[in-house]
Amino acid sequence: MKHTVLVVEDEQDTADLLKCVLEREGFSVLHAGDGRQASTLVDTIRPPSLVLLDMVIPYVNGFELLGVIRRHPDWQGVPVIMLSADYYEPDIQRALREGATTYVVKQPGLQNLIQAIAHVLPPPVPTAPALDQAVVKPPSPAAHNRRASVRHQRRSGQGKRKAA
Amino acid sequence: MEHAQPPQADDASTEIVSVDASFEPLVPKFMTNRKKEVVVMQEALTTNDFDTVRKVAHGMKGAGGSYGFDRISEMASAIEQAAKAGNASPIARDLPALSSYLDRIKVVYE
Repeated sequence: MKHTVLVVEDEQDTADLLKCVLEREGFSVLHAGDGRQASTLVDTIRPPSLVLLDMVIPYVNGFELLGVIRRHPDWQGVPVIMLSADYYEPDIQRALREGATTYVVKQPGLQNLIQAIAHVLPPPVPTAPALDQAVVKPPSPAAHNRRASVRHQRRSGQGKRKAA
Repeated sequence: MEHAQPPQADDASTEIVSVDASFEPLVPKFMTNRKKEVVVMQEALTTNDFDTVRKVAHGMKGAGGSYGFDRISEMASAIEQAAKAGNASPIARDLPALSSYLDRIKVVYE
């Protein structure tokens, strides 16, 4: 089953990039374009696996929305990764103090974000077909016997060559 | 062993920027929006609307950094700082430079 990630990001091109990168990594993505819209989602939908929260968003800023999430009985345990364009230590400390799981500065390609997500989320549970493909089935008794027979013949052949 | 040559600029004024190939469908809109934002900031500056300049520059800084347009991000950051300080003259100087830079970018996907 896919993890669902709620992306709270007001800059549309950045939101599009996050969606592109996250879907490529196998996540299902929800998007809120501002803090007010995100607050509504907190009150109306089931909690996602993860929230990516831009620090500077309109109406309800990132810190306020983090508080809304941490006070909500169903959402309080959801990991929240705060995103920012800046590496500003006081903001990082405040975000962590107020309940952010971690803090990521936007960098080219967002590889650092993908690494942070890997630390925060367990790997997605594979769907049924993927599980079937992933399972290495034990050999059937017939196949085992065929291989044993081949080994036996090889050993026999070697013996014959030595004897010759 | 043959080594790949770095992309060469068409002329001295072209700015080559390498971007992740998987972002290619998104980049034309990204570039168009950055050019529109320069116009928005220029208009805001005429009325000393530093709050709009600051917000737009902040968004541009983050978007530029995420896509790999580091120079855009740097220039937007300088404009954002000047807007925070309410200092019009560096913004008036930097916006045309940013506009010119955007016009000279040639994106190479890798």
